Amino acid sequence: MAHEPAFQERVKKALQNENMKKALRNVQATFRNGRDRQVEIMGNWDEWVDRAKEIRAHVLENLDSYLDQFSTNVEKNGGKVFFAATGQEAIEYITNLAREKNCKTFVKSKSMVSEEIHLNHALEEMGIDVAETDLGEYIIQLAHEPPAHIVGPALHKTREEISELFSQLAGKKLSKDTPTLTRFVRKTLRPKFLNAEIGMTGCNFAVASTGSVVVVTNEGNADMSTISPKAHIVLMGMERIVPDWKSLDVCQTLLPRAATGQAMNVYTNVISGPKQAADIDGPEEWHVVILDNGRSNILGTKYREVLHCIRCGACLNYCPTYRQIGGQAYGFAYSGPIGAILACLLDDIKVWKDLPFACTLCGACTENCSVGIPLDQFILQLRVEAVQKGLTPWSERVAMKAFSTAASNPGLYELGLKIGRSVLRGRANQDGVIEKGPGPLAAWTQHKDFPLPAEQSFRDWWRKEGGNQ
Amino acid sequence: MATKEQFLDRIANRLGRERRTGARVPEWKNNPWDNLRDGPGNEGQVELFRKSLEALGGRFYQASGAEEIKEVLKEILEKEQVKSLVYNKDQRLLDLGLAHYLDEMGIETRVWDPAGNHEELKTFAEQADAGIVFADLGLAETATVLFYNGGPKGRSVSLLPPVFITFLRKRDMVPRLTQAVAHLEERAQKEGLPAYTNFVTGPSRSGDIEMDLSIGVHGPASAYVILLDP
Repeated sequence: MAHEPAFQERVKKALQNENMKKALRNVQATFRNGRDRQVEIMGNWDEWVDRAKEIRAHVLENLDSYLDQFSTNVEKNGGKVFFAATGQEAIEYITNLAREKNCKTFVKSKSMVSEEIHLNHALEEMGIDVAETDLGEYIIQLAHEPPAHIVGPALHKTREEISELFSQLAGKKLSKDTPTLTRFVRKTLRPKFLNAEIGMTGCNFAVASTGSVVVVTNEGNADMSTISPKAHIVLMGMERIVPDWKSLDVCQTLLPRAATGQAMNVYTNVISGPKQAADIDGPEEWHVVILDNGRSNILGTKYREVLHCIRCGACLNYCPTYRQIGGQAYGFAYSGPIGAILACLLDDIKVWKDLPFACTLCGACTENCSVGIPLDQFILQLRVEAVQKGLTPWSERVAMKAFSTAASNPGLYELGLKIGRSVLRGRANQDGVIEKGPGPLAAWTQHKDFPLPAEQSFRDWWRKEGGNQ
Repeated sequence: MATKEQFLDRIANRLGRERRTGARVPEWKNNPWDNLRDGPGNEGQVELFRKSLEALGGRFYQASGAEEIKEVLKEILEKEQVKSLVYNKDQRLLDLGLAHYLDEMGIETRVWDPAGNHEELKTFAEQADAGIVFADLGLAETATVLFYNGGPKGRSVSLLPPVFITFLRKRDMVPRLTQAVAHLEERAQKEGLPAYTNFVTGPSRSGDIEMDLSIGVHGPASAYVILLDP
């Protein structure tokens, strides 16, 4: 997928965006505080996380069985199920349906999977008016930007920028207060909701026992997407399954609390079929597209647990790297720790090799994960893979090799330190930091500064202090 | 293009085993909700519901008897300057004598009746100032109301108008989601779920503009729950 410009360039651009940096600090702090409060209120958070982890592990272990049960029940409920092995197959199914329905307006409730497969692009090429209806998604759609956060895709945008985007569309200057901007969106999107031929939503949980799709929003846009359009399409990753309603309780108890610090999101829709004979509103057709797109590749590997993810985004909110660079610098639909892993596993580690290295391995993601995914361990594993596959820069490999040889030979190590200091002295800035290193050090200093080795090495100091060798 | 069978075979293959059917959830010894919240129907739950709803910007009323119901409704409708209103043809609402009150207040109303003109009803609901519905359950912990929609209970009624008014019987109050999903499961087994069941927790909201709270994005900006006791 698109990965231009290079990761280093994307990061550089992100770091220069002062507004975004400020916004990211605010987003992280607000979501974290909210979640921390909910964890405290619940009192037994870890028990919920442990159970969620057990449920998710059980689902993956039996995924073929539950998908069979789910899809059979969806069909029993009057829905149509399409199994898409690839993003391309999903796109073909959806675009064919759009053609069949002579679709002019296609309303979408937030779906990260549709970002993953770049669905909008395909629909727009057919001349269809595709309207993202989640406020955040709508903003980034107008700005032609990818999502910056799994939960809040436009949280990096300032109200000035948003007002500017909406004003262009309105053809007049809109003030930048929240009520004005919100009203504009309500007014602009309402007719689209009412006139659209097709409405699409994602799927937070697919309940196998009753063939129901559970979609959560705060704005009510998923509800809106299913009221008027003749057809409702659900696009879901195949791992979204929960076995039954008791399991849904566990996952739904965790999701909003971990995502935004809400005890419950405003709207939780349970869709169990197309409209029935006596119904006045609702879609005549209900299509459920179940997507693999690389997920089954992960099943047989040590990374299987990454499919436990319920997309709460908590790992982003606790990540020090995400805090600095934001979601767009990752370059993949999903960002943060979960995004770094999914990019390598769903797509190709050759393309996304930089992402696992953009991590401090602090473990905050793992500690706060709603379903107990060992995210930092997976990131470390992916680094190992990247190195083993020879994907790291040549100079870094040489430097690491040299260090490992030197470190296992004390005499050589000491000599190296002395030479190193004299070579590097001339390159340090006034703070004793090297921003642009020579030779093999250049790759390192592209991402981070390197300290000038100390005047007196630890080993010298130890000797002088009379320590034992 | 993969068929269902190929799709599921691949999963089994990746899991390193034969295809499996009839998986069952393990019987867990303990559940995380075992010690949460007290039993249904008591004042603690009502208080919790009220507090949670108000924290979300919703408004909570209690009413017993025809006189109080009428007073509360009047207060809300006047405050919101409601001139037109749509409500579900729900026997529980009809039993409250709603038609009569609304008529007295001079409000233009439509009843969400499958026997009526569907297109006209939908257009009316979209233009109406308020919608009135009757909740099937209330979840105390989160101030959530549950609706089994379908037929004379339209999804549009609670969603399209800017003011959303829900009646809830005190005996339909449960501690939390745990009891609600049990209710859902039971209903699914007995009569099947309607095409559309929804949980609503306060007014429509978003934090997508600089994390600043905005209310009434696509759904209603005002949410009222009137608890009926008895």
